[in-house]
Amino acid sequence: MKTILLIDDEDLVIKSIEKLLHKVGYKVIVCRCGFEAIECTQKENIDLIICDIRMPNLSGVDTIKKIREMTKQKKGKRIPEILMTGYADQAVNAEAERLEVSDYLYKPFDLRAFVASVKKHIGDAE
Amino acid sequence: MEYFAHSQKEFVYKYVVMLSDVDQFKHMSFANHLKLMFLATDALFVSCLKGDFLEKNRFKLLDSRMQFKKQTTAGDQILIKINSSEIATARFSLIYTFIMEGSGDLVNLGRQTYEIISRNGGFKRVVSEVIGPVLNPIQVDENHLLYKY
Repeated sequence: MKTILLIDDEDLVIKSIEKLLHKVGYKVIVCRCGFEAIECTQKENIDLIICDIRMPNLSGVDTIKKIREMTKQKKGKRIPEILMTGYADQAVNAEAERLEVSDYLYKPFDLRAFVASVKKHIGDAE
Repeated sequence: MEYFAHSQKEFVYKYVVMLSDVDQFKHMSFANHLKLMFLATDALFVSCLKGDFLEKNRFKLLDSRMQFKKQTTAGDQILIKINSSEIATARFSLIYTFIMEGSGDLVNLGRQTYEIISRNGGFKRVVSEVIGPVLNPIQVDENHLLYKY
């Protein structure tokens, strides 16, 4: 079973996405902040990262950067990332674009399209 | 990079919480959050409906509900995203996602259902005929959205 790391501080989003991804057949590890997520990627074998942009302490963009740095140091394979945001902020958009993440979603997104994106980037697309 | 185009199909109304909106505890009251939902609806219809539509028709509110998620205070900038849902012959629903502009935090989830009534004769109008062009571009399938409204 493939493992997805979900990083978000919003209970409603965590509950909704976790339930959906379990239903589709993925193992989901939930982290509520960037630091927790960085620690988790060191211990677990993650196939996909889904991360909110706005989070307390460490932003989603910084979290992704740090995880990439660590993966590179370990000479591991880059983990595909999906970023989520509640609003379209131009500066954040530009930063996310520079990061070249696999996908970028605006909340509230359609869950069917979300699952399609997850399957595509995790390598399970039909 | 790919974007989900449909997730950007929404009408967005921005509101800055004023001192007059907050109570003695410096929080915006629930009643004002409700008022904000109506302000956003007005903004949608006034900016998108053309001609004398509003002189000839009126909107009848059938149902309105809101799930309050987070306090706001004076100076907070709130973005209200509006999508249409369940567009039927004689009625339609609007769903509202309130988020804080700075942090992206979810503030409220709202839902309203309307009918359109002709001022001349008081008969129900066919929604798709009269405001289809306004509602269709922002229509979503509510059953598959991230939040439950």
